Amino acid sequence: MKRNVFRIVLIIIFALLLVLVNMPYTKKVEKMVFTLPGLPRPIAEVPVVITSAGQSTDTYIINDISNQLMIRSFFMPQAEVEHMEDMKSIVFAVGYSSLGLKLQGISYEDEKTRIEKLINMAKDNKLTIITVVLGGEQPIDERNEEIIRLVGAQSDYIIGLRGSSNEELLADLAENGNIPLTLVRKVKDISVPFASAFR
Amino acid sequence: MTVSQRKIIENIFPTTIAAGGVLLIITGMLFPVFFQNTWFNIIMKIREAITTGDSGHLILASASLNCLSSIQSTVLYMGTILLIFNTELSSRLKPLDVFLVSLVSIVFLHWMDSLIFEIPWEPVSTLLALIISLFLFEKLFVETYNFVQVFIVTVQVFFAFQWLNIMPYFSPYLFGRRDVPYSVKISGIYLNADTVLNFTGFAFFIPFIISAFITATLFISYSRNLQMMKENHIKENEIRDMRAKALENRIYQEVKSLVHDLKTPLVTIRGLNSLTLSENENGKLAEYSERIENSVTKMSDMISSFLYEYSRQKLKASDLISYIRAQLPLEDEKIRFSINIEEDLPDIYINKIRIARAVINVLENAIVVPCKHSYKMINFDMRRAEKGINIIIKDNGIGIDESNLTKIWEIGYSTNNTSGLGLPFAKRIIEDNAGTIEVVSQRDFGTTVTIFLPSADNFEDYGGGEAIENKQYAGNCNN
Repeated sequence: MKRNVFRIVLIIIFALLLVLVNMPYTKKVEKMVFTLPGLPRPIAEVPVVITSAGQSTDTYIINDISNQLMIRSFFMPQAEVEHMEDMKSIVFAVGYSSLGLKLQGISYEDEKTRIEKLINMAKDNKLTIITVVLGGEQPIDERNEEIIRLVGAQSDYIIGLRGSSNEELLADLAENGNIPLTLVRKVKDISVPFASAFR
Repeated sequence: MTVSQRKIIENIFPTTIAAGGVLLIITGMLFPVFFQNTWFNIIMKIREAITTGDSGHLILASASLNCLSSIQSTVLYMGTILLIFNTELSSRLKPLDVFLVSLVSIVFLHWMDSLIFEIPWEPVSTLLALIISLFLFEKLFVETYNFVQVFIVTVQVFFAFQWLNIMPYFSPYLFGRRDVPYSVKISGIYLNADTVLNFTGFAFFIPFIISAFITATLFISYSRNLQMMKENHIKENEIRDMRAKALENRIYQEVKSLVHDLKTPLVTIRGLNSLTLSENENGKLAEYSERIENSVTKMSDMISSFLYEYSRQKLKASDLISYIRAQLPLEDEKIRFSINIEEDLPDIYINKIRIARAVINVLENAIVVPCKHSYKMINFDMRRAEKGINIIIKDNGIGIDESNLTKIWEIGYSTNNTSGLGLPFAKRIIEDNAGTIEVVSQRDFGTTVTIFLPSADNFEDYGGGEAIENKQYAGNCNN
C-alpha cells in the first residue's frame, strides 16, 4: 500500500515539475524589439511566387491568405529558378518539416540548394523577398534556424509571430540587416502586414 | 516482479518470448517505413483542410496521426516489456528500478527511431502515457500474466495521450511541438477551429483514459474470478476423492467382517467332516471327506489371505500359475491364449490370493480391450528375471494413447466402461508384495504389461520386510 502511494506521489510530482519547468515555455526576449504594424508603403510588385522554405504546410496558409487578399500570385512550394521568369517578388514561407521533405522526395541539402539558388536569382534580378515564419511553439530546431537565417538575412521584409521561440532570432536578423520586421499575435493577423507589402 | 510471475515467465517458452520481444521492437522501429504513405496522407489532409477551409480534415488527420503514433509506441513498449521481464534483469532489480529501466529504454528507442527515420515523436505525451502504462502493467500483469490484455490496455492509454498533442490548449505544456501536430494546430488556429480541436482532444482523451482503467480493472477482476473458480474446482476434486476413499474404506471393512464371519461355519464343516472321516476311514465316504477337507483348507487360506493382507507364503511360481489358470474365463472362441512358463523358476514369497487377483485383473483388461484383428491374441509369459520373475501379459488390442498412459493408474479411469478400479488395485497389491508393474502401449498395436515379483531369497532386498512392517504399523495405528 505504501509503495503504491509512493508511486502515485512520484507521478504527481513529475507531472507538476513538467508544468512548472515549462511555464513560461520560451525564453523571454530580453531586448526591446520595435516592429512595424505594417509597411508604410508597398515594397513588392506582382506577380509573386509563393514558395516554401522547409516544406512545412505553413506555405498553404500563406497561399490562402494571398488568395483571400486577391494578390496575383503563383503557388509553387518547390519553385525553381526557371519558374521565376517575369516574376517581380518571391514569398518564402519558412518552416522545416522532415515529413514534408520526404513527401516531396528531396533531402534537406537539396532544399537548401534550391533556396540558395532562388535567393541568388532574386538578388541578381532585384526581386523583392518577403519572409513569413509561422512556427512559434516548436523548439528551436537546428535546421529550422538555419533556413530562417539563410532566407531572413536576404529578405526585404520579415513577418513572424510574437511570443514564438523564433522571436529573438527574427529580431536579430532584422536589426543586423536593417530589415523591416512585423510580429503579429495570431496567424490570422498576418493578412494586414502581408497586404501592406503589396498595396 | 513476484515469484509466481517469474515462474510463469520462466515456464512459457522463454526463448520464444525473447524472440517475440525483439521482433516487436524491430517492427516498432520500422513502423515509419511500413506506414510512410499514411504519414504522407496526414500531410495531404492538413493541406486539404487549409485549401478547403474545412476543419473536419484536420480531425481526420489527427485521428490518423494519433493511431499511427499510439500503435508504434505500444509495439515498442510491448517489445521492451517482453525483453525486460524475460531476462534476469527483472529479478535482480527492485520494482521501481525495473520501472525506470523500462521507461528509459522505451524513450531511448523512440528517440533513436526519430533520429534514424526523421519521423517526429512527442516526448511529453509519450512519457506520461508510458508512466501510466507501466503503472497499469504492474497491477495488471501480476494478476493476469496475459500480454494480450496488457496490449489492449496500453494501446488505449497511448491513444488517449496522443490526442493532447493536437490541442492548442496544451501547447504551453510542451505537447504537440513536432512538425505534424504543430501543423495541425496552427492550421486549426488559422481556420478558427482551435476550440474544435480542443474539444475533440478532450472528447477522445477522457473516454479512452477512463476506458483503459476500466478495462484493466475488468481484466483483473476476471482473472481473480477465474483463479477462484480454479481453486474451488481443485478443492471440489479433493473433497470428492476423500469421500470416495472413505466409502471404499467402509465397504472394505464391511466385506472384511463378512468374510470373517465365514470362518465360523467353516470351522463347523471342518469339525463335522473330521468326525465323518474318523467314522469311515475307508471307502468312498472317506475319499469325499478328504476332498471336503482340502476344499475347506483352500477356502480357509483364501479367507486368511483376504483378512490378513500382509500374510505371505513361499510358493513355487508354477503354483501361482495353476491357481490363476483355474480361475480364468477362457470360453470365448475369439480369444487365443498362449501360455509360456520358463522352467526352474525361483520360489516367490507372496500373498497368493491377492497377487493372483491382481494378475487376473490385468488379464481381464487384456480380454475386454477392443481388438481390430479377427481374433484376440493374449500371450502370458512367465520368465526368470534378475532376482525374481517377470510375468508378461501381451495383447493385440487397440492399445492406449501415450497421453493417457499416466491416467490408467488413477482410480475410476477406464476406456472400456469398467469400474476403473482394476489396474490401481493391481498396482497396489503388487507393490505391497515388493513387486513392480509397468505398462507399455502403442495405439493400434496392443499393450504389454510386465509384472516383476522378487524371488523369496531376494524379498528383503526389495524392501519387502520393511513394507510389511510399515503397513502393519499403519494398520495398528488406524485400529
